[in-house]
Amino acid sequence: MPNPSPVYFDNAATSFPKPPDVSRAVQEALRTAGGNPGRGGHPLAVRAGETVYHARETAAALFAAAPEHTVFTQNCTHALNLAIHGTVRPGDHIIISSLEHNSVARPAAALADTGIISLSTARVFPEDDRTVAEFRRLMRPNTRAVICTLVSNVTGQILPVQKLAAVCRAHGIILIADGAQGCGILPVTLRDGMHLLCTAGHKGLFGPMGTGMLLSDGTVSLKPLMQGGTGSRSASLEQPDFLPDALESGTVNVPGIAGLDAGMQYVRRHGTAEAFAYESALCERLIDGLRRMPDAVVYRTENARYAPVVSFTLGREAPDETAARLAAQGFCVRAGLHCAPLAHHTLGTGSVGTVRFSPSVFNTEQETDAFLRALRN
Amino acid sequence: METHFVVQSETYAEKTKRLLSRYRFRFQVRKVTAAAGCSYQFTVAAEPAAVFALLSAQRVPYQTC
Repeated sequence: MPNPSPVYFDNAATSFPKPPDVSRAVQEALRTAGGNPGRGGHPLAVRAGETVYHARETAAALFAAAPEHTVFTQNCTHALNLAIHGTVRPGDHIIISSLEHNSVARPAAALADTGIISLSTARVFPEDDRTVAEFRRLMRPNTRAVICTLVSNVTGQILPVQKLAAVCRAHGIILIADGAQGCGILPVTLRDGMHLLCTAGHKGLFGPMGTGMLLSDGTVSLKPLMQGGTGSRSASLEQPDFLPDALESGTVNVPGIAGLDAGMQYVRRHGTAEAFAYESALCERLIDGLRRMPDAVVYRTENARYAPVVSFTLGREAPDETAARLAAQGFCVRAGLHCAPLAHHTLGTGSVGTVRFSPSVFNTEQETDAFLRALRN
Repeated sequence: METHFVVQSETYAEKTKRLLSRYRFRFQVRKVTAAAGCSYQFTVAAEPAAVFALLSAQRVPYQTC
């Protein structure tokens, strides 16, 4: 019989539940900030504008950015497309890591397939220095950008973005970091050296789905993906050239941004170290249990650093069958390729993928133990 | 002495309000909705040189009026 209250271990896809303040902030915005920010002088538009700016300030404080260099997007994929398409020029070369999500791999491949750029993929090793050396080996005089995830969404491996940033800056290369899995869990800020930080709002930052951000250090000029109304310089047919207006055409998601603001405030109050330690302990508990199961394979290696995400398989059982069996017992995990075929190719799991366990601070040891029992059923 | 200027971006208008407050300028701001879009008309009780130096240093896109 299905568990009436599912236990959610799929926070790498989107976090659930959210802190109560998040839904309260969304409702408050819908109730009191119903105007269109920047599109009117009446009180509801002004309130909406203040709501959005407050969220920019919260993001700026969390990530050591300037509020006006915080661009709100639909999700991390949107932010990454803004960064990638906005950065490259015909004839450029870019490098991505072998653990990238399709949010990076697909736009990079699309640009390469049409001959606009050339593309290299840097293999990620367990050891940070080997990974950095591989990126360095692939750099060319026309390398415009390196795009690298902070954390693999498949294995949880943490990539050496700070070291990569130092190499990129020494070579005049733009570093675009995909923070979808790292923001809210790692103490990442723009002080780590990336030029552009892209993140989902709805994962470790606890915002609603449909939110994301592009944070810029202000040194990179980005061509907009689309043009349109910004509420500023409306008499001109030219898109404003300053952030965030240059990249925020059309009405922004005010209720979502208000919820994201509340989620980021939650992260600021509790700190990323606390979440990292707590969730990592749950992952270690799971891994200990899996190691007592003779047919379980855990996709971790000794020399790598990991965020709290665990990929595993169980003997001959296909990952989607394992996930379906778990779902029938009330546990939510994601199986398959996780939109990251490059990463699964690197792992050697490219045909069927893995089962991914990704807890949040709202999960418990008891739930983890119950998950292990369900795996054995 | 008063300084008058206009900011046409809501984000930068909010930033300007905070900057002026932080540096203890006395100011008024009026949001104007016109055919050309929203703008924010600032009146600051200070010398233009001091105000515009601050805005320029903080890369606020403004227009004098």
